[in-house]
Amino acid sequence: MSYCVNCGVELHKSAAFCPLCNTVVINPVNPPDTHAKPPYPAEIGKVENVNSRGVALLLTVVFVSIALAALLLNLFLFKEGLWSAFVMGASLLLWVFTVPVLILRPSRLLIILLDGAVISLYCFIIARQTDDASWYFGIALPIIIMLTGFVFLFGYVVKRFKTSILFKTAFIFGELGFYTVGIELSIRYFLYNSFSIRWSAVVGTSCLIIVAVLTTVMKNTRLREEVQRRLHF
Amino acid sequence: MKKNTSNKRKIRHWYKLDLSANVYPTLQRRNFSSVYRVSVILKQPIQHELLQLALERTMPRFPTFAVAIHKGLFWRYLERNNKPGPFVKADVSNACMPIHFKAENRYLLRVYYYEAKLSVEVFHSVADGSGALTFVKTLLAEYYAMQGIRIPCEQGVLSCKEKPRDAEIEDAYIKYGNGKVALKRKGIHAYQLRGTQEPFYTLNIITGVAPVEKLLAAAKSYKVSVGVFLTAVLMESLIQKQKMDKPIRERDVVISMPVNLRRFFPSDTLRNFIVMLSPSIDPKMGDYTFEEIASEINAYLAYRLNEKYLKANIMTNLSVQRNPVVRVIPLFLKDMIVRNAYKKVNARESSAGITNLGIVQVPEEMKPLIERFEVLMGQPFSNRTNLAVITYENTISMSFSSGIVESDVEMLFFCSLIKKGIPVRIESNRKYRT
Repeated sequence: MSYCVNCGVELHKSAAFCPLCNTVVINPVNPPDTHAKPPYPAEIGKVENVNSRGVALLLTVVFVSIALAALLLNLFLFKEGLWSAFVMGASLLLWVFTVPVLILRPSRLLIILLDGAVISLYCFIIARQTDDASWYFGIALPIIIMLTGFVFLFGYVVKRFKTSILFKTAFIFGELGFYTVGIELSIRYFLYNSFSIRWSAVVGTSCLIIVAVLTTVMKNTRLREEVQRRLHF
Repeated sequence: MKKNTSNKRKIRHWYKLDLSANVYPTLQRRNFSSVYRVSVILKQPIQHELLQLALERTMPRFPTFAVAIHKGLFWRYLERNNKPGPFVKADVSNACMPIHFKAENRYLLRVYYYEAKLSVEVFHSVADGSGALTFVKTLLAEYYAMQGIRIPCEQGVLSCKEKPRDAEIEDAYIKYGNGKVALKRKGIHAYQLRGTQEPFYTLNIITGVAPVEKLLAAAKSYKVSVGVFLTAVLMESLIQKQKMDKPIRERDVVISMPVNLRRFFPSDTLRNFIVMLSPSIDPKMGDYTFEEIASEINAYLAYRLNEKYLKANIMTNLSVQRNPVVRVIPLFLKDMIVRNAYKKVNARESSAGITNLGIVQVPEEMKPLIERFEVLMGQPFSNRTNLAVITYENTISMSFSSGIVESDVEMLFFCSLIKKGIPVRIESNRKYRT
C-alpha cells in the first residue's frame, strides 16, 4: 500500500500507478503487489447478441404465402401470362433484403453478395418475361455486378483495415469514378458496340482529383490536423 | 368465494412504467446506459452457487424486479418474466453496460460476484437506488440463511416467506401526484466536460473510500450536511475544471441530484420514487470560495426540500404524461421526440450528476459480515462524470463513473478532500495512460 506522491491519496496495494493523476508508484520499501487481486476485475463483458428469429420467421411466412397465393391464382384462375413470376421474384427479393440481416447479423459482406445475386435474379425474371432480353446481359447484369463488387470491396476494406473517415471518403470517390466509367462503357458497348468514354471521363476525372486531394491531406500530418481542427463537429 | 376473487386480483401480470421509468428505455442505447449498480463488499469471498440459490429464493419476493420490458402501441410496460434467470455471473470490468431488452432472458437485472464483492445491476425503469438496496439486503440475508446464519427481517431486509405487499409495488408518483401546479422547466445550457471518448465497453471507475467521522467533522465545520458538503466539493471541482479549460464564455455549473421522495411522502414502494433537483453556480458572478458554494447549495436545498415544492416538481413531468395529446402519440414517435429532446436539452442542462443513497442500515447480525457498500451510475451520453455516494457504518464510498480518458474532475475532487483533512483510499479499474 502506497500514497500517491502527487495527489496524496492512499492507493490499493496492487496499484502500480495513481488512477487519478497517472503518477507511477515508486516505493522501494513497499512496492506494488503485482500478485494481489485488483479491486475491479479485468474481464470485459459483452451484451448478448439477440437474433430476431421470431421476426424473421414471421417475414418468411408472409413472403412465402404471398408468393404461393400468386402462383396458385396464376395457375388456376388468372391464366393470362406468367405474371406470378413478378410477385414471386419480388417476394424473394424482399425476403433476401430483410431476413438474412436479422439472422446473419455479423456477416455483412455475405449479405451484400446475396443482395447483389437476388437483384440480378429479379432482373433476369423480368427479362425472361419481355420479348427482347438482350438488355439484361448487355447493361443490367454488368451494372449490378459492378455495383455489388464496389460495395463489397468497400465493406471488406472497412472491415479488414482500420480506416479513417478521410480514407473512406477517398475510397468511395475512387470507386464512384470507376463505376461511372464502367456504366458508360457498358452502355456504349450495348448501343454502338464500341469501347469508348465521353461523359464519364468528366465524372471520373473529378473523382480522381478529389481522391488526389484527400490522399494528400491524409499523407500530410500537419494538413490533416488543420482540416480536423477546422471541420470538427 | 369472495376471498378467492380478492386473491385473484392480487396477482398482477403487468405494470405500467412509473413516471421516472418511462424515459429510460427510450434513451437506452449502445452509448447510454440507464443501468446502475449497488455493490456490497463482504468480509469473506462469495460462494456463487449459494448466491444463485439465494437469488432464486429472493426473486419471487420482488415481483417488480422479475420483469421484462415490452412495447405497447402507446407506452412500454413491464410484464412478469417467467423465464429462467437471472443468473449469477463473474464480474466484468465494464460495469453497468447497457441492457439489451431481449437478451439475458429479458431480465432487467444482473447479479455479479468478484472475490468478496456482490454486485446487483438494475435497469432504472425497474427501481431506484432505494428499492435496489432493499433487494440487495434481502438477497444478502437469504445468502447468509443458506449458510445457517439467521438474519432477522428488519432494517430493510424483507422476509422471503411473506407475500409481496401492495404498498411495495405501488406507483407512488400517481399516489402523490395530485398537486395543482407544475413547476416550469428552466432551459439552461450548463457547462459540459470535454474529453477523449473511451472505446465502447469501457466504464472508468474511480472509487474513493473515506472514514465518515472525518467527513462529518469537515462538513460540520462548514455548517452543512455530508451530502451538501460532497456536492459542494464536486461543484468546486467542476468550477475549477471549467477555469482550466479557459473557455471564451463561462457557463453555469449545474449538478443534477436525485432526491428520494420517500423521506417526504410516506411510501414503501420498491419502484422509482425520486425527483431531480439541480443546484447551480454561475461562475460569471465571480470567484466563489468553498464556504460560499456550500452555503449556496445548502440554501438551494433548504428552499426546495419540502413537501409542497417537491409535489410541484413531480407535477412537471406528470402533467406531460397525463396530457391527452401526449398519450395518443404512438410510441415510436414519442421515442423519437424524447430522444432528441433529451440529447438537445436535458443532457445539456447539467454538468455532472451526484446521487447519495445515504446511510445504509442493516440488522445487527449482518454488521460483522459486511465491509462496505458501493454504488455506481451508468454511462451517460455526454462526456460527463457521475458521482455516486453511499455510507455504511464508518465508511463512505464515493464512486465516479465516466466514459472519458481524462480524470481531472475526479482528481480535483479527491485532492480537495485530502486538503480538507479527509484521508481517501482510491480503487479503480482505470488503465495506465501512456
